[in-house]
Amino acid sequence: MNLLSFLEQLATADAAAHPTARRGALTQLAHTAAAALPAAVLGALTAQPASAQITGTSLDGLQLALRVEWLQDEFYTRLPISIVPAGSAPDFLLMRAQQRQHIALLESYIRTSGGVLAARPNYDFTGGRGGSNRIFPDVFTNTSTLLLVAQVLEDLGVRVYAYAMPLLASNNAQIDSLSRMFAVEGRHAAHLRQLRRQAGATVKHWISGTEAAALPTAQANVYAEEDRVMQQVANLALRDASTLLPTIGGITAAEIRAAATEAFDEPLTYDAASAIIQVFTY
Amino acid sequence: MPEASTSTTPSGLSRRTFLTHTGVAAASLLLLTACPDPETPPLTTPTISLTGGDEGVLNYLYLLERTATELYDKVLANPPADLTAAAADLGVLRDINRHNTIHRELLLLTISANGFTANSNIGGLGFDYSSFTLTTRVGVLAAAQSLADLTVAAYCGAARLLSTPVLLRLYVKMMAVKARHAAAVRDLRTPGSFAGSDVVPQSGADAGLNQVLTPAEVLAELSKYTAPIQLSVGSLPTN
Repeated sequence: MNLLSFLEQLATADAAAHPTARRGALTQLAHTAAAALPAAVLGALTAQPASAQITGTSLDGLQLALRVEWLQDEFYTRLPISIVPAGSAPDFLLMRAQQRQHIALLESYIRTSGGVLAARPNYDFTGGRGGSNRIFPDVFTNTSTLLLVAQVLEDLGVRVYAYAMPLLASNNAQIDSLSRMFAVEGRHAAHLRQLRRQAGATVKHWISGTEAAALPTAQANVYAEEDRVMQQVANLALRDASTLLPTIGGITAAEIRAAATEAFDEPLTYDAASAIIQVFTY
Repeated sequence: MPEASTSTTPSGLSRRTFLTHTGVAAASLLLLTACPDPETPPLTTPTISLTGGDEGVLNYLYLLERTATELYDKVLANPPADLTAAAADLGVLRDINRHNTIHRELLLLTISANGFTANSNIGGLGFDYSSFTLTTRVGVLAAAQSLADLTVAAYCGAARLLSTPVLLRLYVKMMAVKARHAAAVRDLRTPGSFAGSDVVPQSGADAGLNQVLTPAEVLAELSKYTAPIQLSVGSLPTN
């Protein structure tokens, strides 16, 4: 985005009708660092209330999706196949193959969109960022830890695609492809959860509330905001998804609320997703 | 309800093409019933046609939810004994139905919050699931898988059709859960089939990408369960 189109977008952004437009323009600017604005202008803009936090450019979406796919590819490449649950080795090979197919497409989209492919970072799936302060020290020696981290990475993928997809709305070819990759990520995430269920973990195939623990850390939690029940259904309308189930068959209020959180995978913000990626990279 | 046994179409047009054109011309939310004009070919197949724009897309999604919740409601009201015995599996199906019911009702709220009209014919549709075997666990899972995979493929093909950013964001949140549903059901039926090559091709230009179906393809499939009523894309956008 150049400065002129940025200013034009600000000029046309009606804060009431398009609550995210101004903030979207700002975040675009922050991510691409394409122009510098006087501090006074920025100050006035940031004073605008923001009712939605999902902002960015199509390139932001593609780049973030690529970083997560790289992360997953690297994880599946490094894991010792000997410690995955019996019979599931082909599943891990399949998921890695599909991540690599996604990577090839995302890289080509980034190139054709004028973006620059960064070098892959260093990876450390213990969460120690190359040091000794590890969150998952036995990630590649303990099957249950391995499955847990894999689940975190796949749920991260789902929430990042949920962020990226709407940013590609103006490009039919790309939104078609991203949709189809997104669906595959959802399948992977559910499968990791199935493998954990088979191993005795109390977990559903879908994210239920904010789950039992903040993972990988409380500060960079892939399940943050997943307890949302208010859904935006129009520019100025929110609806409570926890009021929509009939209260029959002995269903409890807690079960209704859980279902309302499970029924939607919330997008992560660019910054929240980046913080989670950084737990495993350096 | 008129009978659907005899459908006469003009030569040179496929039946579906003819219905689609008729739907567009009539710009109709209504069931098209037998044409009263003897000069034109009688159209004896009742049809539900979708409208254009985001209204049409939301009604399309609502139709998908109605299809799924009707099936699950039927199964869960009287689950087969071997499914009841598999409590974990039954719990998964119950959860899926709760999610789909929430999606269905939220879509109705979304339609009205945007000033659109819900297609009352979709709301009143009946579904015939006699082609499925709903008396065994395996049969139920097969039916559930069939509809779940169809729904995911439909979502893969319809993101491009929505023009309002708020609606696309809502769509994406539901879509992810649809993919989880499909994988969960597939794994219950056949462990390890969560992203099998029948739904995610392993080679060629579509490698690694979920199967995608256009609304016309999806509606043709769903029409198998709504006979004699045929479902038509009508004025649904194409991009």
